[in-house]
Amino acid sequence: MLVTFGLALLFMALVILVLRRTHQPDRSFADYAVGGRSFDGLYQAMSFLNTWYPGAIFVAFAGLAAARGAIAFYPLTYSALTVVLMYLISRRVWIWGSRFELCTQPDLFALRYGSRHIRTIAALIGVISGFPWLVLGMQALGTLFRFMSLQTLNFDAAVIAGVALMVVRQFWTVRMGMRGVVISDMVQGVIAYVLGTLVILGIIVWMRASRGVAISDIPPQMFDLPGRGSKEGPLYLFALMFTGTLGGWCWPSIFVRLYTANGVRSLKQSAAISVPLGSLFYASLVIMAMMASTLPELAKRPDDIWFAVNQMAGGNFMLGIACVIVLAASMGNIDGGIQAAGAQIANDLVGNYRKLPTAHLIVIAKVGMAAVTLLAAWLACQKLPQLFTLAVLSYQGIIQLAIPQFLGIAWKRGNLVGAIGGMVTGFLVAVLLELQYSGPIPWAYGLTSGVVALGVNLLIYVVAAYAFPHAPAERNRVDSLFGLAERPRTESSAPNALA
Amino acid sequence: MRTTPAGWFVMIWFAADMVIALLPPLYWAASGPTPTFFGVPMAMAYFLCVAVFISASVAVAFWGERRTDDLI
Repeated sequence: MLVTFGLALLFMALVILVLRRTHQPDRSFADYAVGGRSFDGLYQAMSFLNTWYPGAIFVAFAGLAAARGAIAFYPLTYSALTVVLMYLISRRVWIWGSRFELCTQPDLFALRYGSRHIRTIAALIGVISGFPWLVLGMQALGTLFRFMSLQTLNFDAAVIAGVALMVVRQFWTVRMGMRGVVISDMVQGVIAYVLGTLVILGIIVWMRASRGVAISDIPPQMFDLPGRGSKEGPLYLFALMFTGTLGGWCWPSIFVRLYTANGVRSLKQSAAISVPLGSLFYASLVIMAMMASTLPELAKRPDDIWFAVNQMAGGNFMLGIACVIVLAASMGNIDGGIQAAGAQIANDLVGNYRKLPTAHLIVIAKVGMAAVTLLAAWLACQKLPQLFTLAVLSYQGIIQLAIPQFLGIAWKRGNLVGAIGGMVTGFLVAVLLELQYSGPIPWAYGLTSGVVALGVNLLIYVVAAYAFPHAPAERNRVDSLFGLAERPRTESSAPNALA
Repeated sequence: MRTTPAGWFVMIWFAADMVIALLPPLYWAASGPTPTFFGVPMAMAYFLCVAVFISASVAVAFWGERRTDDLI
């Protein structure tokens, strides 16, 4: 236990040391909320990966790979595709963000559709939808602490210990805002995904060399994917990948990464770094878990496979390393969620209808982060049987932001009526379908509630775009907005009407 | 992204990314352990090839835009 807890404490000390050494006072709310738009491609890539791949994937998705096999590869596809989407929208989003000092995702909605009210709606959907995942992230630390204690802690005590650690860690997130999040993402990202990939590859080599495990030992049924005749429906896998692809940039904590870069070049560079690195990491994890599932000692323990196989390979030292990797991945994800929630509470909810000075906004964001942390920590320690259902439901709901977001960035004709009407209707349809079917919908060939609701959302958006064309002043404003992003280095020529 | 020939090439590649990753008949066909692709079962090979294909598209897009100084 000394080894596992000792390694975790060393890692925490390293992160805190780096944060203390890099602390800078914030001169504006943009400094606090988006780190002053100052980060290069490498920081951006690590920051994206550390928010995108939470620690839970070492438990839940490695467990899925061990239990169900190749279907666990589906996040590999949507994780890569979502970065392609980012590549396509990065120019407009960054230029608009920089020109208009946008700090949050709802800021972009407000700018594009010329409305304060849509900012409130988008923020509410973002904060509410993200909250169950924050609680789940803290609960996942329970599994981590159970293994760190060599299974001497019961699950309740392990969850409380994990939550306590994360609450302590949040002191620096609250204090330093986004700059602290991105800088710590670099440290955590190197540990979680670079060291993590090396460890995974090492485990694969160890299984092959010491235990004689080969890919050909994996049972054939582990390579079956849901298709025609499957109980989930032929389009179920499509729905999972499509939802993940569109949904990636709907999460406020992910979207805000588009504003922290120091330019479009850094955003695109981060895409070129994060796709191959993330793909190598995740593909290796799934292959390792599938191979490990053939070991007789692990066959009945899919969710424990990451910790158990590391302990088998290298004793408590490797178990400690495995725990530090999961801790690093968890901290990035939870930090990002808390930071985004605080920024939205200050900027998009409290500060939406009245002009507040920067100092007040930063205080509100800090209080919001502290409140979100404590509430999530308290709920994580409770018995909440419906929490996972709520988290799945929230995913189907939050992707309803995709239509007004992506079409708003790509298509001038979209308007406020379609954006709000489609988003709210889509959210309600997703909730109703999810409550009714709770998973793939039989009459929709396995499509999920979110995808069916997206269809409704899209229909409303497009019909409204043609039924209620822009008034001349609004058309000019939107034309100017798009024109701004068409021409390089046009900040100085931006028309005043946009301000 | 500018509408140069290189820009169009990348846009077509990105569209191909979406098709090969999301088109259901492709992953239906890839389901199962056989045939193998260099010893790797088809279902696994399919996902790995899709990831390599998409990674290459993003890398080529960035490299191309950097070369033509189309980034700010």
